Amino acid sequence: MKIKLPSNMRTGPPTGAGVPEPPEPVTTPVGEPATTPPAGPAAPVEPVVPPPVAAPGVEPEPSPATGSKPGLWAGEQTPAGSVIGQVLPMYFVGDESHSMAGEPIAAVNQGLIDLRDEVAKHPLIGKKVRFGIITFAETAQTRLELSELSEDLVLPTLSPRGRGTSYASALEALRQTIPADVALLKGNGYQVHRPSVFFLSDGLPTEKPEKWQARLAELKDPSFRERPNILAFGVGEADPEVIGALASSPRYGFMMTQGASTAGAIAEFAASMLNSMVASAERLDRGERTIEFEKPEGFVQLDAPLV
Amino acid sequence: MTIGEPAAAIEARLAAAEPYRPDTIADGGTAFGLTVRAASVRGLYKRYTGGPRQDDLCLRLHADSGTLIAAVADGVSGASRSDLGAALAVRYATAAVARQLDDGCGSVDWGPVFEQAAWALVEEHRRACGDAGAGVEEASGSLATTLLVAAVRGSDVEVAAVGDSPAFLLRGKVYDAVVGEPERFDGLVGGGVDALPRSAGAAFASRCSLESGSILLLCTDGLAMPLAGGAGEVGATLARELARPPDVVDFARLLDFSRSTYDDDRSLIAVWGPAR
Repeated sequence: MKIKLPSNMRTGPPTGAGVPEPPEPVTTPVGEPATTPPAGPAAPVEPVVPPPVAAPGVEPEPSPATGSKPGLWAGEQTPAGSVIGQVLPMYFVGDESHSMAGEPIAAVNQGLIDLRDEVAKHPLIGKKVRFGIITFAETAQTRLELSELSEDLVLPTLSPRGRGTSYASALEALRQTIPADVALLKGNGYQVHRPSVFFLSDGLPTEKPEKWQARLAELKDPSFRERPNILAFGVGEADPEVIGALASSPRYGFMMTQGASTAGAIAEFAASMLNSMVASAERLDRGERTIEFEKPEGFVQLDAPLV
Repeated sequence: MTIGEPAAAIEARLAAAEPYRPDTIADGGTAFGLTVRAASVRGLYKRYTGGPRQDDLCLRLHADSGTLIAAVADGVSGASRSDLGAALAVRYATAAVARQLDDGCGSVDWGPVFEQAAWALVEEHRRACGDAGAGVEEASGSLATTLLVAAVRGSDVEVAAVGDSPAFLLRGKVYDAVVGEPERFDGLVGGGVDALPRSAGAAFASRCSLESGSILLLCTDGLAMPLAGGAGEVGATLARELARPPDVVDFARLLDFSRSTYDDDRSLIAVWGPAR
């Protein structure tokens, strides 16, 4: 929620019998308030059922959770104005290119299993978080539609595939998926917090820089109402400059410490993603920062001063 | 009481806070023809982790002017001692309003009220850290809190806020925002909140009339979030249960309703207007 003070003062209560005059501010805000209302028209309150993600360069894939509908898609749709809960969407966007073969990809898969199990065990945060998985190699795939992390959720097993590493396809998939997911959650009666993306790569994009940079600019565009917080993590041969560019804030870019084990760093990354999920869900109501995150062991924060 | 899908049942841990912070406070009574109920309940998440309630409230009477002064505050969770910040803010703000009324002010000058509450936070931070030169930024790191204050004299209500703790007038089943606005359903949640002491100058104020049959509600976002403007089942339940002032303990129990995903601290002061 995070009240937008200036606009509410202008709006005032609706008219009606015995309704007070529109309120007048007696003090003037110093500078701009911390938040501004989102631009653009209201999101549709009518339930919206988006088609499966099919961004250009994105291969649709059946949900791995065959037989159990992900939590997001379940439930009765609620009438307009009726709110049933609040949720924080979080996406893991992972590199599935061939360079991840072996221990690194195994560490990702184990990290995701641990994440699911820990969240499912927690009595409070499981209901507040929705988790999705998008992977990329030469194309992007939605491997897990935004879901509640319950213990019976079937996770995809990531494995190296294809040739190339297309950041553009992953960023495009996010640009397509996030608004559709947010609209669906709202249609189902949820208050939706700003989504967060955990982006993990072990190499350089194999496409022209202009291509992925253009997709990134679209994702970060301030006029894109559902633009996510992006935390970017580079392991292996990833380029710190590229990882830093992906992050939505300089403090959200992280590179594996030189000489560290890639698989070990990925395990630390996964543990930090879990911690972030717990901390962010705990503070969901407050909203002073939507995403809580601490640097994982074995990583360097890219905006930290060089030593 | 459960509204909609219940939250998980958990065994609450005592909060190891210094100074002492009870899980729940409840108050109420009548004054100057007004009927008041007030409660502040610790959120489920803090009950689970053993954290202290970071909301607080304060009621104060100004006898000479027949004014009820009421305040609620919501300590910012990122600030390490915001529970104390909230406690100080409501007490200093209501005292500041009372001093103005002592001086015969016809209406509240809200600027100094928030400045004095903010200053109390800075002073406490200086005392605690032993740094007499510490300023607003340092104090914001440890004691940040929202603050909503109202002065009610007969049917005249003056109310002002820094941050996202809203005030509503409830008439029947309709919730009209007085300060703050109902939860918007078209945007994303989050992105920042104004808080004392940093945003003392960002207060906004309003006036309204507390007619017979209407109820002034001052609350923190732990209630405002699930209330979501009042159009849903939380709004309907509150409106039904508050049609008449409940027993003080029942009021606190009502505020402590169980609802999945809503586990923040909640505070509510309800003021029923003078009978015709």
